[in-house]
Amino acid sequence: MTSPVSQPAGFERVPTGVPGFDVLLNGGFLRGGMYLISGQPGSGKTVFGNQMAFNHVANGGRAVYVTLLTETHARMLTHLSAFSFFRPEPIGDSLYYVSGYQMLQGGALTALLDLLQGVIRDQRATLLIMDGLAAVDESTGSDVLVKEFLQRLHVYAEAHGCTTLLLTHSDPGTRSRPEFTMVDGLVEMAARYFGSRTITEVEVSKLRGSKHLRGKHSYEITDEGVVVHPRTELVLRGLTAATGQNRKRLAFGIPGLDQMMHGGVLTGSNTVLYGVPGTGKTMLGLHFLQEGARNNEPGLYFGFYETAERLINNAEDLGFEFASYARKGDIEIVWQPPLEGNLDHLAEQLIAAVRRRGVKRLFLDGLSGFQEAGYPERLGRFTVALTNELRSLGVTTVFAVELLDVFGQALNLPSEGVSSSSENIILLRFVELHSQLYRIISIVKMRESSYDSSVREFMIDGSGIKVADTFRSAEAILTGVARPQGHGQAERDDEYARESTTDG
Amino acid sequence: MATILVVDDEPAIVDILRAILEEEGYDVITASNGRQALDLMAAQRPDAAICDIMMPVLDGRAFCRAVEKDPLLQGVPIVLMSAVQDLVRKSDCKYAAYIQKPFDLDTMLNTLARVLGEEPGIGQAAS
Repeated sequence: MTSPVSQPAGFERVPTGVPGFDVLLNGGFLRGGMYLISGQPGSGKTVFGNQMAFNHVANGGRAVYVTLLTETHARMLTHLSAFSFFRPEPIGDSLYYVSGYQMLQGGALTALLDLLQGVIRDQRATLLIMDGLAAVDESTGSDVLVKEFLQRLHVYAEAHGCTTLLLTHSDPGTRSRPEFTMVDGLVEMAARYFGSRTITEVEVSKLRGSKHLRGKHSYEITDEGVVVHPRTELVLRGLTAATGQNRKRLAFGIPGLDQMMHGGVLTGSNTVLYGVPGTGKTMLGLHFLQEGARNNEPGLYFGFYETAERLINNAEDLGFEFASYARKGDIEIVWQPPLEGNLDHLAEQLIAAVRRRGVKRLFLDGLSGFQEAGYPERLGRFTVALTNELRSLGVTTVFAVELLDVFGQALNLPSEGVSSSSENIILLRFVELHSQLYRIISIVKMRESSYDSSVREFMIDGSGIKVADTFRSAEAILTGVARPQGHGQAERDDEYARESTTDG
Repeated sequence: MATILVVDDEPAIVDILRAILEEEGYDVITASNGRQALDLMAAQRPDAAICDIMMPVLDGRAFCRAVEKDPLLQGVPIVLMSAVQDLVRKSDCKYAAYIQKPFDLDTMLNTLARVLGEEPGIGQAAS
């Protein structure tokens, strides 16, 4: 039997309860510490402070929220009532709002200090939030007085086991104000611009006595309040790759293709389907999920362009069983419109959907939703982290990645971590011959596995997907002997045989 | 004209109430917490008090109870203000009326006019 190990008092954590933020703090702020939350107006500091206060009292703590020249309490509470963390019951009891501004009039910080010490003592506060610290700076104009005030407040609060949050306005990158050196931790909330789009980011730039996740992490203000999305590369550490003798092959359910892959892709592997629009990447991915559902392997479609309804209709038109499996819930469809997506939030949603149903087969239809989520410089590392995590969860993944050069001979495969972290690459192409477009499929790479490297013709019609059993029809197309419409694979194979005989 | 005591720790609320009430012809005295208010009342008994609930040092409920206990102050009608109605429902003090924050001008003036002519009762709402 194990006994719980208690932490020294100085290392007791006070969680903020702000989704994702405690991950950055390694569990929460340290009890009795003093922390500064800075940011531009509208960055969400007040929401953050109140969210923590409501969460704190919901978990048995007592909080005092002191305002210094911010909006009135009535207006603030009216605005806060729209958030799901808001509860009227603790207000006036375990959560107390007071204004300290009148104490600042005349510039006497001792009066404000008396008030703060009084409310900590009288309310038996375990959390003090002071909103509008900039008013303290402005009221004195003396760095020395501000530092002295903060030190006395800190000592008093710490002695009473009270954690203190100071909320203040600051311009991005400002780190020279006196309070910045006095506090145990610094949290900066700032906006970053991508064209007309704004992404809000939070950074814990200092945290005494505790390790934390460094760098900037995006956050949103939702109905829940502030929701932080820690950088995927730092939180997904699935390093246990699926290896060894127990890996089996997962078929696509398309005999010609499965034959080329000597049975299918290995479990836990990542496969990239490269192709220009219309070559059939999505249909191939749906077939992969459908084949999994036939074998009771939970599947997940995660995409950005096709709604569930359109996807099911398209699959039905082609005679796929995908639709019935999707309706039964054997395959889940998660659709995210590629509008203002958040890169890390997308990863969170994807991993949550995988974990929720123990997904074994995943089809990620397009990476553009990730590419357009605002962090092009991170995409390579992000993709590697995501694919490693999926591998460690035992998921076999197929990605569809769009190529733009429809008929070009040169193949410029986008890297961004996808190609390098994938075991298998399948290429889908169009070939134009006699005013007719033909689809061609080939396997470019299959790591840890033998495969047929021949090029095959690939057909999609009302009866589903077919990959030619032999390379002959593809070779006929590529060498220019294929007949236009009306001639199928058998005829092309015959034609090829005759040409070969004649040539010989 | 009647003297009204306004008690609130938010200077913005105190300032706006002072301006409104003085425009209506009332004399206005102000305090930023219940303790200050009691000290003021000892020197000058107002005709009515408008008082916030959540304040440092001495809150609005404790202020009401102190007024009720003091023979010299008993009978001063108190209008409680709060952004949270539950605070008033849960309070065990006597007050003449309750105003929800943020308040509108007419509600405040009508409520004040009414309580100036009434004896304070328990749990009478302003509406």
